[in-house]
Amino acid sequence: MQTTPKKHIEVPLTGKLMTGEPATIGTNFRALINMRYTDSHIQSIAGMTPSNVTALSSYPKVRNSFQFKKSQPVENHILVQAYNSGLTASQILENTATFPDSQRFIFNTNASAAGDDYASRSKVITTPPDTFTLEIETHFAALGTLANVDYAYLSYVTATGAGAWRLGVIFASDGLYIQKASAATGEVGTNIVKCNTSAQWQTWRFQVDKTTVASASVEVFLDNVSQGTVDCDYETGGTAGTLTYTQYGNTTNFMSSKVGYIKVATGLGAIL
Amino acid sequence: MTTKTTTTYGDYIVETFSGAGSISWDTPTGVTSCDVLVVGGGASGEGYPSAVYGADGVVYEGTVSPTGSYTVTVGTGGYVYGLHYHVDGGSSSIGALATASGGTYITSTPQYGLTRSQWGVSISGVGKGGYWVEAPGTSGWYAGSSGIVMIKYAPAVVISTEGADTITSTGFTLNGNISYGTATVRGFCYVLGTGTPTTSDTEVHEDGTFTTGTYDEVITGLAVGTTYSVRAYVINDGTTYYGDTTTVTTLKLTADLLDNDGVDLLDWTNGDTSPSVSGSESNFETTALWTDTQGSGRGYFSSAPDGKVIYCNGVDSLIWGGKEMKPAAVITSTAAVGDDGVFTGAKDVTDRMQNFKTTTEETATVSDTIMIGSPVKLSAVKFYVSTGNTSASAMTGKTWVSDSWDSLTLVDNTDTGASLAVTGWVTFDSLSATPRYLEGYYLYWYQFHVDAGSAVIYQINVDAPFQSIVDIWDGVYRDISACYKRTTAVADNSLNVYRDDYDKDIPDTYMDLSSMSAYSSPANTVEVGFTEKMTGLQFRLPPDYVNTTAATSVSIDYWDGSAYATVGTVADGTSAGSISLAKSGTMTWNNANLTDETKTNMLESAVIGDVANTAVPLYFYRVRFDHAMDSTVRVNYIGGISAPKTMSYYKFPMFAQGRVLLCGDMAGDKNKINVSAKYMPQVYNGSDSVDLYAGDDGELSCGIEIFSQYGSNLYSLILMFKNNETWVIAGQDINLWGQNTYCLSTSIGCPAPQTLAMVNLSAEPGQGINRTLAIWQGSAGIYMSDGRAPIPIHNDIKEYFDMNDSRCINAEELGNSTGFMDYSKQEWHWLFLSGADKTPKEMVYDVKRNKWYEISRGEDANLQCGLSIEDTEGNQYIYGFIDSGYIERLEYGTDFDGNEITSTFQTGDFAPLGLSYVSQLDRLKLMTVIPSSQVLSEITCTAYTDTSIAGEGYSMIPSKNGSYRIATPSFDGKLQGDPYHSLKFTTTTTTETCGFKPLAVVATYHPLTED
Repeated sequence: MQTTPKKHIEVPLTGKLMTGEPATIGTNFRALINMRYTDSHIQSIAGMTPSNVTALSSYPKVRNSFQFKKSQPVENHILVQAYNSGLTASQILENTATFPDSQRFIFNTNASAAGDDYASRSKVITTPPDTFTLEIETHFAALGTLANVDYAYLSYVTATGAGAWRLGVIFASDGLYIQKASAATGEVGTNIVKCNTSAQWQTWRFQVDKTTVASASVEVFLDNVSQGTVDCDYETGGTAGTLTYTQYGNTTNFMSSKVGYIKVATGLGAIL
Repeated sequence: MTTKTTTTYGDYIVETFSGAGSISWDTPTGVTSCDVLVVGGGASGEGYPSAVYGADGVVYEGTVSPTGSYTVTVGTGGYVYGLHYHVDGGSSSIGALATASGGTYITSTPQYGLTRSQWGVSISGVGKGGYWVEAPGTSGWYAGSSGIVMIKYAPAVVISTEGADTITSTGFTLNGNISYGTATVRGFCYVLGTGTPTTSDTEVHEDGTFTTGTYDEVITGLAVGTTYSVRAYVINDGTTYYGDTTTVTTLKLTADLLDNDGVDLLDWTNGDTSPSVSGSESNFETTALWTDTQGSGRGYFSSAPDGKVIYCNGVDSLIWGGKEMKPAAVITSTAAVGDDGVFTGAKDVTDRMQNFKTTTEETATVSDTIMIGSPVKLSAVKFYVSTGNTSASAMTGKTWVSDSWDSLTLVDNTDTGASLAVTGWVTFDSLSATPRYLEGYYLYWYQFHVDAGSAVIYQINVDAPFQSIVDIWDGVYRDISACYKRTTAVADNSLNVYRDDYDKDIPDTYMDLSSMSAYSSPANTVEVGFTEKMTGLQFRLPPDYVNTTAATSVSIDYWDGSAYATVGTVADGTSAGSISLAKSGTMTWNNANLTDETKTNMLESAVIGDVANTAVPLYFYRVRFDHAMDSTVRVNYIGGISAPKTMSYYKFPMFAQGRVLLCGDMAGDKNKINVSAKYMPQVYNGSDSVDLYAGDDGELSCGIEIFSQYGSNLYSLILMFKNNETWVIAGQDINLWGQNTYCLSTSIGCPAPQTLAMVNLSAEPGQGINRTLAIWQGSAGIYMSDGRAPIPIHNDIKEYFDMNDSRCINAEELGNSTGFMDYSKQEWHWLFLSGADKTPKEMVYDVKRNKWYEISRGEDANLQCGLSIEDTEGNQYIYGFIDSGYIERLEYGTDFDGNEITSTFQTGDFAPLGLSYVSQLDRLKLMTVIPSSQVLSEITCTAYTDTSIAGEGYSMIPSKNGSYRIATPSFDGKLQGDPYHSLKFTTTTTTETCGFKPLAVVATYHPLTED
């Protein structure tokens, strides 16, 4: 039975972890897990998030790592010594992502400059409406000419047959081209694709009016500045609504480009 | 909503506003007088409409001299069917207006009896007096009317803004209408936001002679999703007339059809042909940079001078310069360079090609051959072209292999019909190459020949794969240790050619080869000895004393241990006109049997036996000629070019004071440190390179450079470790290192190399604690050192090093622990395996507070190692690796890669009243910060009494109240402790980056009994 008034004790949580005998550490912590110190209290730590989307497979066990940076020209390599699952063999692998922003996608033809080799991804979305806007962020680390078919190609198509049509955009080291009637190409501006040694991230916006496919036109914006309006009356379709990005390297090895994002919206204008 | 209709009648413009609401009318420019008619509307069923004459402000018609805007409020009601206008005196009529508005002309007879309240009409700004009004309506069918206001005036021109169409995100088309009059300019003006634009603002227009009709202009370059105020305008006879102001907002589209980040393309249909690669940029390259040689151990990386990285794993000692690096030498030639290494019109443009400057003096014109030298074997060369070659041409390439130029198979990406037409890579398939001496450089050489035209190049970079370090001559000629001229006798000419101090009148300053006969074994040779193996000899001859004997060629032999043997083909740089020693120059060779070269100090005895032995064994090279020298040949200097040393197997590299330190020769002296020349990571020879040794032959495990200040002196200190020894190497350069190598501890070392890290200690200012320190795991604890004796910092967690404690670090795994610094938080993470079952543990040392805590990331999420990564802005992020093949960004996210974050703290056993009392905790209250999201997770408190391992759990639900920062969850209990209590609090989250910020625990208790 209680015989004396209640008292209070305050444990301020400013102690420290001590793994010795708990009876000797008082109000220090015998356990402190996933909580760090501040000057006045303790608090939970943040989590962790995978950076690479595709896991290392043959050599998944990284046992050492190093960031190798260069400034002239600028290079960044995360080098790792990675072992196989049995820890019996190891390799040096690299990750050239721009950390911490590593959400971009890279297309690389590697040493495959032969005929129809390419790196490509496609997705079927809605059939292109009469007016739409397509916006894409690109970076061309290694890009060749239109003639050499060492370019990157972006297309968005309707179904084949009557009314067939496609937006065909060619990013080449010698310019930006839009496909038009009979697969002819028309350059937009003059040599406006930044690539190779001049490579930089560029945002392209294609505002397409194909209400009448035979006279479809597209206004091209580069980094929000209009570069002009050209025909895009290439009346060739495909699987309706297919959006495709392809990096070709028919003539030259190691053609490479990156895509930051792709957006498509109904109507004409910038996309949020 | 009030609507406006503008109609032209004869010379008048009548603007009619109808419907309930307010209108605002700006008097057109140039209008000095207008008539205003206001007809009020009545509520439905108000009865018979009629006209009012002279009533006070109900319905008016009059003439005003407009000076600005007028506001008219029109009451609610129905509509007007008709209108009769009757000016006192009957001079005009607007009855047609009513008809034109769809009404019906009713009567010309004024009706009386209407009141203000019935019509609900008021007007201000238009003066009173002299008005009369005749109102619409007719008996029987009237159902109430809305108001009408008509304003009649006679302007010079009437312009109206007709709104916008074709609105995009950055523009629209504005429409205007000239409904009356003519203009010489028509256009639009606009301002950002809400306002009244004038021609002083942004405007577009066209000039000409314009009559009535609509027109439009396209406005571009506007901001996305932004409102603009616009109005049409015209200019007539120098006067500007404006239409009404209206607003237009540019579009903001939403990505309703597709909105994918780049990484989302992983889920798209993969259309790669087999050799191609597409994937997230953050993924690792699928092609390895290097595959470790079988039997190698843990690999260690190190920075290196000149944009290189060094890697050692106990077997491989590698160097890499990234994707693009500077060449060591670039020389242009107007003709191909043959095996003899002779250039034609050589220009050394190395400095110009090692920067990106494009000014004329920093470029080079290539019209035939360009030679590129590199200390590593190349796989590609990138030419940066400022003025491209326009002549149809092709490029061919060669590299020096053994003793000849071998052709390369090129892929020329500079070729668009002409080689070197554009900037691009030239890649080639062969990695076979042999270093040789050319134009003062001993390098791997690549020559590229363009068969027509020329190009201006402003930069050349090269690409080289990861490859073994090859020791490259440092560029300093080696002094001879001995030089003998052997004819029928042997003459010691060592001092004669040791220095380039020629004086024609002092025979001791040169070696006289005049009339030396052709080689006749073993006589008529020059034998030179060095302390290192050579791959070339430089001969300097006075210009007036060169050889002129036609067709004289040279041969060179090395001593193989028992006899002289040929070094093979000699590239004779002293040859001119097929006469050797015809000029000063360098004789070089590539000895395919370099390993056979053997030192000797018995050379003379073994060969001819009439010269005293050299004091120390030397590598001897014999130079012989197939013809006799002419009568006046003198050599005043001979120097050597050292052959590449065979690099041994090193355990780990370091980078300190501009030098690479290859440490722990795993095939030789494991306590050896092979130090490169300064800023030359591939030079391990010459006077600027040194070998150091730390103590006995015990194996070095790791090392690190730190900096310290003692008094006013700054020091770079190299801490070098063995498993249980710590060494420090002090001194500002290698000449001091050897004599300033000290053992700091013979009991504390670092058996876990990957735990070693550097801490930039940032304590409170003024405490003098501004050093860098090394932190590492020893065999018996965790230590730090600023260059002095190691200080243990593991006392609070010493049980992990107590071999009698079940938590002790597993002895077998002692060396496999890793550690890494989180520099932003000043925390060192220690990853190790604990106990007999090798439980993965991650302990974190808070350097600033000298405290430890533990991280538990959950199943399959234990880190194996980690590193700090710097972005292009210099921000530092911390990453770790887990065994499922992922690199994880740490301190980022609300869970541990899918595992929930469970935060726990448990107090020690405390006795509120001392050890003599049994106490009862009656109530516990936790003071905790409410997260910004207001999402408070459940907190579990487990109370342990009497040191029991079994506790009693209580759920504590924090109350949410957005008005407060602190929550105080609590529970009541009867926790009897005799005398101890221990409290553990746990919460779990997958939604908060920091979900738990407890400040204090308050326990209410009372004593139960006293001992």
